[in-house]
Amino acid sequence: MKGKKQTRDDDLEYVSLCKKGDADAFEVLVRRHEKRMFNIAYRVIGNYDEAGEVVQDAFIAAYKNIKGFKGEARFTTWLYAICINLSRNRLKRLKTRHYREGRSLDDPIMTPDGELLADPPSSEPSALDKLEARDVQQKVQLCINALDAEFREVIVLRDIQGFSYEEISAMLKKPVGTVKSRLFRAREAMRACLQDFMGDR
Amino acid sequence: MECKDIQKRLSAYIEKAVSSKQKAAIDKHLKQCKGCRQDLADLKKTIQYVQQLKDVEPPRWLAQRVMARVRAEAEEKPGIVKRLFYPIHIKIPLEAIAVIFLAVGTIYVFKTMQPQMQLAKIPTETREMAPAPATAQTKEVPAALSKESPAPARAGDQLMYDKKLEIQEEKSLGKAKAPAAMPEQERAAPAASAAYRDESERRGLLAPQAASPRKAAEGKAKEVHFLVTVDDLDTASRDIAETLRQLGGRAITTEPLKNKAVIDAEINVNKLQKLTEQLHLIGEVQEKGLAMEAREGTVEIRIDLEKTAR
Repeated sequence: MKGKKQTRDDDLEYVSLCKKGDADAFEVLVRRHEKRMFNIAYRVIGNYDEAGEVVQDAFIAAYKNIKGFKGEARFTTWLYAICINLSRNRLKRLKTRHYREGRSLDDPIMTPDGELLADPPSSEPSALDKLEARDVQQKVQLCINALDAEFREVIVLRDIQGFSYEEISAMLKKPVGTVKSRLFRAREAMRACLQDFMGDR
Repeated sequence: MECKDIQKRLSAYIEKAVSSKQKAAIDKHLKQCKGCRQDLADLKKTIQYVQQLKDVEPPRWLAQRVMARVRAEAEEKPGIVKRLFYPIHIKIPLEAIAVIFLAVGTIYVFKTMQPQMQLAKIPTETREMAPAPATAQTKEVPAALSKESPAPARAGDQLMYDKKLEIQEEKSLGKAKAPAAMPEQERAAPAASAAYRDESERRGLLAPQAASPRKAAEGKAKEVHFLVTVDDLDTASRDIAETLRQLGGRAITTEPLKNKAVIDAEINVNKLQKLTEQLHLIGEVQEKGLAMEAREGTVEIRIDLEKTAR
């Protein structure tokens, strides 16, 4: 897990400067968080260029609304929530556009909704074990892309970014229980997706 | 527990986010169920794969572009702030203007109404007070001066003042449009004598133009006073009104009464001589209060018309 447990919010000092209109202080925050912001957006959206746009918009939105940050949560929780929201919106728009333009036959068609049936037990080594390292990065991202937005978010925030359930709950404004059950279903879908890739080979 | 229930909890189990009781149950099931063990292994592998995803480097221009936009925003900000607060800026003056308008309006209305209020005040006051001096004098003075209306021979000053007094009396009554007040006057008369002095003084204060007889006698009248004796009241008052108009004067009130008429007017002092000449043509003129002649500007004049004694 990459999440750092910080007892103090180092950003607050700069945040209060930003509230006074200090653009340089905001630059510190941008440089500090752009990478993580970008990776969240990139993993949720699955498109590098779109992620760049979304992160820009997210930072601008944060700057404009910095006075709305009351320090109830960590600054990053607040900042990433903006990023997640904008990513979700961008994803929705892209999907509509994608739908209108027609689907490519090469697109993975996987909609992991509802209960997943238990796979029949197999005596062979799991198909997942056969996934080669070089394929992994690409396949995992493809599988994430196949998930619905709400499942992408929890997978990205929990398994990739390593936020705690509480942090994720605060970012998504959903109860921890909801986050947990979504995460379970997202992981199951990921597993099914990766196994499918193995079966395709 | 069924495999289905176990699978639902494997995700939390991996993260040790299950209660110890559930953990024991899952552990027990996994020992017996190969399928669920496989599922657990696959899930762990899946999570592992996901966690292996490497961070990507954001585009190099990202922070730069963000800051360019932020700085543009910051420069624009005064404009935005101004625009946002513009309604408030204009609102405060609007409110201030409204208050000023209200205040000015109130003062204006009050000012325009004041003369009316004074006008309204004079008749009511005189209606109550005028009887007192009038009757008081007629009742009091006879004893001292041994004269009354059935003594036309006494055409002296006192008579004139009495007449004037009566005219004024009637005039004020007329102004008040209360002929019905006459009985009131009679009633008030006996009690009024004691209050005579006080009230005549007050009356003088309230209505300087309706100067009390006493003040007129002392030559302190604020107006030029003519007593014109004519044959035909109507013709004479028309002529006088015409004369006044020609001389640039302004007839304020004309009070036609039985055998008498009172004309109040304002006229430029310079024209006073002309007026006097004209009046002489109309009838027999007696002049009073000419002490004011030297003054400049307009002067108030009062012309008492009286029918020639039969």
